[in-house]
Amino acid sequence: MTPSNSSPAGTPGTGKVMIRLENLSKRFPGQKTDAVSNLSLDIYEGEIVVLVGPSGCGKTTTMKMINRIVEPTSGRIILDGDDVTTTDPDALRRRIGYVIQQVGLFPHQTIGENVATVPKLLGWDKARVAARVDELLTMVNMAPETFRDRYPKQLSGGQRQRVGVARALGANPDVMLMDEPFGAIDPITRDRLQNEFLRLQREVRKTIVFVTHDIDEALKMGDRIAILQGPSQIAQYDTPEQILTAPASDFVSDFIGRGASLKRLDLSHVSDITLTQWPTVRVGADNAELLDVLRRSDKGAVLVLDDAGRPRRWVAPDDLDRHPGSPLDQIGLVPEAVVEPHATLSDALNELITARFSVSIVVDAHGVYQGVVDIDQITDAIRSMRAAAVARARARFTEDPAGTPVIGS
Amino acid sequence: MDFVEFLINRGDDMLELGLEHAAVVGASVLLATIIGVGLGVASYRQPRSREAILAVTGAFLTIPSFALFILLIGPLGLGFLPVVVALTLYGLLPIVRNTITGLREVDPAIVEAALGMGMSRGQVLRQIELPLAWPVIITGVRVTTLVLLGIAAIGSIVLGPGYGDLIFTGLARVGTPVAVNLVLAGTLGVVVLAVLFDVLFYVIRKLTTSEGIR
Amino acid sequence: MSTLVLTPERLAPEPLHAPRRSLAGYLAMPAILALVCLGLYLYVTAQQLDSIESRALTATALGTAVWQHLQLTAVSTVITLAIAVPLGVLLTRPFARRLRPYLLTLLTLAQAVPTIAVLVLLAVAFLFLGFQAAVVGLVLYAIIPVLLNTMVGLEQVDESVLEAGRGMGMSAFGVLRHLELPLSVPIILAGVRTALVINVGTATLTTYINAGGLGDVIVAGLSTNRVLVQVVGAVLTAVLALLIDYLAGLAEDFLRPTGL
Repeated sequence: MTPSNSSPAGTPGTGKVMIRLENLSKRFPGQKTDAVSNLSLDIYEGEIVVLVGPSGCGKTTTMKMINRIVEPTSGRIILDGDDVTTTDPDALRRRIGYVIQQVGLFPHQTIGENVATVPKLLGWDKARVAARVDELLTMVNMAPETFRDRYPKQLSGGQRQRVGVARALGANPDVMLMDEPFGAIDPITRDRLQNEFLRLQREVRKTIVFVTHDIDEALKMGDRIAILQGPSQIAQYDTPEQILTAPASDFVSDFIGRGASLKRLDLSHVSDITLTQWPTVRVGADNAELLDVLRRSDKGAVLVLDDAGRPRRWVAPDDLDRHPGSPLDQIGLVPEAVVEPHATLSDALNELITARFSVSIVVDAHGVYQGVVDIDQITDAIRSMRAAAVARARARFTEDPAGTPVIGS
Repeated sequence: MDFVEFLINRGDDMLELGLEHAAVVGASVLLATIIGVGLGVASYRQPRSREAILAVTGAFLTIPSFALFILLIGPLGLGFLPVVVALTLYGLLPIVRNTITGLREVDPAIVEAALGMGMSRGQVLRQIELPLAWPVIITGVRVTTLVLLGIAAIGSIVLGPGYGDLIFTGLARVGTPVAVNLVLAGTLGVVVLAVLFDVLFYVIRKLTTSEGIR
Repeated sequence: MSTLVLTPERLAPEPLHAPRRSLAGYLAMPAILALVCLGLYLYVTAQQLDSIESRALTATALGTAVWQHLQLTAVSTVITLAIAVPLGVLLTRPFARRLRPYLLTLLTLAQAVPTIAVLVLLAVAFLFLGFQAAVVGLVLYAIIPVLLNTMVGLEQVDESVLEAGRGMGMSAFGVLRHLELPLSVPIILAGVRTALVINVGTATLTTYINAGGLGDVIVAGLSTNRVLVQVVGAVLTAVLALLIDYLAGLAEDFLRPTGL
């Protein structure tokens, strides 16, 4: 895989392999078949890799073999260049942050003591541990002076999961393993925690292996997603964009479910497409200027901007007739469908469907008009994304007909 | 002679017998706790040894104490020693069982999180599992203590120390006015010790249990 | 005397032993007990018995002691259950809820009262001796653990099941009759076992109030200073207690309603 198609858009993947799993297999005692069979996977530094798949596909077992909570039956685990398959598991685990769905906070210890676990295991001195605890709690938006001395039972589910993340970051590990970390949390809190976590990840840039059974969570969180089909097969290992636009098999399409194109719109942003322009005038313009602008376009109304360039009103010729002599920013309609460039195409589509003139107005962070998005641009974007994805998938296939090197048999 | 007068007259005796009784029970409870927690820790993760240990300690508790004291005269003679050995054997089951129950009740997710952060098995046991199981274990120790206080009275048969002496002396004088007072005094002594031990365990439990799991 | 008490804290949330043991597990205890009896028999027959010993160890003497012991155990167990189970039901009704913590503490503490003290008090205070006195003493002592057991068992019946029952329109009595009691069968069976084991142990001491039992054999050995007689009495007592506990355990395993 070349770096150009391994790095998802907007993610500065260095291409350095942080975790390499080589032909990993696990058969639990008393079982007739492997839970994971001969699986190989490369995980790149600084990326969130999501292992996703139906229950029984071996995703959790695979993740737990990385820190050897589950000892592999055969195969190798290489962490940052070191073969750690048979080294001291306790030392290995202190290098790897670990977050599980049930959080597993120690109920008899305070939040501060919980977060201090790994630094203490590593023998840090008291002052350094205390400073680190406060830093970590602040990082996950929990005021240290409020929460440090509380016990887990005094926290809500969402707060506990935040502490779980802080605890896993204890000794600043390069790698984090997260097993359905937001699985037991109500949908609203989950969404907030996911966003907080993505923001945190932009700062800390860990290599993260994230297990979930929820494809939407995978698409949201993953820089790269491995869809596991069964104990011995990775159905597809690719960026969310590629998986949505060029699913590798019927299994993947089925797993993504209906609405793949709509989900695809969640991954692209208004800033990714070229905006169209709408006829505009400044708020001080006279009627003649407005009608002139309108005549030179094929639209039915003009967008009136204030002196700073911010959209104020939609004004049509009828409005001029009905309110002769009124200032332009007091007639017509208030523009409602306004989005910023970092909004997803899905947001833009949602706005424009109900908007007047079927467009979303795009403004920058200061509210200054940039252009508009209409339905044709969105369909064009989907079409070109699909074409590009298919081309990439084809190019990769001709390059390496046996499949990409990261995909196990 | 009324009972209160009797108690006042025998005050020194009561105190001395009480100290003896508390000492023999205290020593037995301490031994049973050390052995019982050890057996529990050694066996709680292996179903076979767990069941074997529970079956054997359960059988100890089933053997009537009168019979056990008599059987221990042969190897251990009379006095303090056979009583401590018998009481220790009786005390094992509640402590072993509560240790196993307490350790098994620890949420597996907590243990997994601890192992996942790189704690060794020994660290997990010492820092996580035993502190979390502690309230259950100490409850077992408390129950054991109450039960042993009663059984210790029968130890008088093998000339063991404590309030049993008063009860058996009373029995020997059945029909005399002092008999009732002797038996009542012995019983009262045991009950007072039971209350004192119970208060002691309440305080110990309070002091040694983290606020987070209270 | 043996005291197998169940207080709330001691009830494991899940059974610590498998509900059904393996065949070897079922056969181990009777095999061990048979071997002990055989060994004791061979040992005694190999001894040169003096006149006191041979008089104390006749089949008739031992048989009478065992029979008295079993009668004491059986009668006191039936009476114990007849009192403790209904009392347990009564004390878990809502009106008694507020008393519960005090009651449990009191009952737990009361277990420290020495059995021998209860029996001896009957003798010295009321000059109440013999079989009936022994039964009264045994019942007084055994009631406490069985009562604790029953109360805790009834309270452990899953609240949601009871709520569902009430939700379907069952009366309070209907809930007790159709849900609480059937669901408590294992706990009640455990209570039967507890009562049996306690009574078979305490019955050893009834010799001191002239009510017979295997304690007679031991005391005869003590008063005549014959170690062999003491040992025979003690071993038979232990074997009988373990056998009764074993049989009660079998009953628990096989009478427990399936699905629980």
